[in-house]
Amino acid sequence: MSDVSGALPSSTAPRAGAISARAWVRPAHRRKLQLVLASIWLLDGMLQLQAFFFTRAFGNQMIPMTASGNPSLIASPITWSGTLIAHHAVLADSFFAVFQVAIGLGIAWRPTTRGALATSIVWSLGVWWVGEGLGGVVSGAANPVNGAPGAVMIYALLAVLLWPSDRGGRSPSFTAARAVGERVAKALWFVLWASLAYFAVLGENRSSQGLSSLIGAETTGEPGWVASLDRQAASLVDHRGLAVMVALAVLLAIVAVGTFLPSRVANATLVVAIVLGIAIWIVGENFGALFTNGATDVNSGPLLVLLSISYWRRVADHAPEAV
Amino acid sequence: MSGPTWLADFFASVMILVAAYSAGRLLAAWRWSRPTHRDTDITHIVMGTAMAGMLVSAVNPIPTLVWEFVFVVVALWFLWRCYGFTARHGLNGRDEDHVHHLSHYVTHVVMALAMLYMYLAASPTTGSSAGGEMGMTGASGATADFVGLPLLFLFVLLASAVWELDGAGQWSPSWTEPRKAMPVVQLAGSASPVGSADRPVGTLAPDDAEEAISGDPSRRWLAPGLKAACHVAMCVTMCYMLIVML
Repeated sequence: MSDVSGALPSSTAPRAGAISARAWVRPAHRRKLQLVLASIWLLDGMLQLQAFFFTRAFGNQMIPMTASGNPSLIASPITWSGTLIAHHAVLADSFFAVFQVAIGLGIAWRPTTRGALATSIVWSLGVWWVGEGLGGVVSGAANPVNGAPGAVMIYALLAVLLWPSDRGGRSPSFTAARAVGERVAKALWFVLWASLAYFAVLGENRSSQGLSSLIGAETTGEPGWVASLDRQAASLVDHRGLAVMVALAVLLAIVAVGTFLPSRVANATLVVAIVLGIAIWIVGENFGALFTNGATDVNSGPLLVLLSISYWRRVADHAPEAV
Repeated sequence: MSGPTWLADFFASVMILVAAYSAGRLLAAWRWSRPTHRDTDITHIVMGTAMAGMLVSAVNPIPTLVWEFVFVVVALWFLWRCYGFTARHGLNGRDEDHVHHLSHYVTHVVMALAMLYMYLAASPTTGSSAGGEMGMTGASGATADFVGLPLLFLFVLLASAVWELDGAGQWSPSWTEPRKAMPVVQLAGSASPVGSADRPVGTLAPDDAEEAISGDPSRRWLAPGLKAACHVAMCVTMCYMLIVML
């Protein structure tokens, strides 16, 4: 995609006085994952430019919803932020959009990758609180089917795992371990997926109608075919909520412990993780609600897939990468 | 257009700037006898003008129907270029400048198709008048349920933007991480690089190329970084338009 035509002579034939230019270097595996993360940040920034977010309704309606069910210590700052955003809707939303676009472009631009990743961690933690009400973790409303424990937490986790540095010692067997080491990377993976398994059978989520109601309620604002998909899925799990969520919890638990298993088995559990991520994104998250003109991000599905790819064991090739 | 007017004005201004730069780039390349990818520059001029016209109908010089025809031609041209590239270099090859890949041409096909989609899906506010005014609103009718295609366009454009930026970042003087000898793309005709322990024959230290480039104004005007910036701006603007229309 890149172009050096301006720096090169018009013919490929050698000519006197011509100069040389650097060749394009194919990004290493971790760099590719960073670029996917950058694309997602860029998309988030662009989504923030939708008309709805420039209105007071964003601060007055959408933000306070995340405070619901949380203790006042957590809910109060959310409500206060919502009011502030509503009073300065255009300014606040412009800032949010520009900031996220800058993070995306910053990760993609090599000289600023580290700064952008560090900024993304701080931003994610802020949004996790104010924008997602800590993902329903404290309120007991967390459900892996609709994005628990909050997509932005996975952004932060990816920023840490894809940090462009290498810990000393022998070459790790998967990309996510390069920056933090295999032990820490595996622990982080386990905590994330085990918590998802726990949330799956938490409170209302294990009721016979819980899952069906959750999926059925997501049809609002969706195009016909997505709404139809939701209705069919809701009908399929109707009165089977407990069985489905227990099965989901078992699969999530297998994925969680899979990282400690031998490479081939671990990769098999990663395939399960990827399939779950895609299924959750389509059925539970309605493609991140991208078609409703009210989505602020792609939700957790694609991020779980990206995370899983970063844990993929390279059985044959352990050669260190450049970036 | 279903978005703040000032935002549409901003993106339209950026697109006019991109179109103007691309026109200037063509002129500069002709004036200084430098190479440039003419089809890409012409496409940037056309797309920049068209997008500015979609965002702010007052600056749309051509009726919608003409634009649709133009983008069919652009899409077919780059499809032909894809075919030619694959025939000469294969799916994983690079072209003569050792930089462009098949993805360069595929991206331009997608951009042309995305433009076509937007023209077909957007609801005309005053019909196809002389000014070709059209309002950028959400897709209506049958296209309202046909959202998978713009989503696909969106993902390709975002990927292209970050890929381009990543490539451009490799030439940035401020990027110092892999300050080691880089492979030579094109060797000087009269003076072959001399090898050393750190820099074997056939490679140049990164600073050598930058120093050589910095002395020539044509190179500054035609710098790959500027073209990459235009491409990124174009992708981001098109993404915004597609999101507004989702």
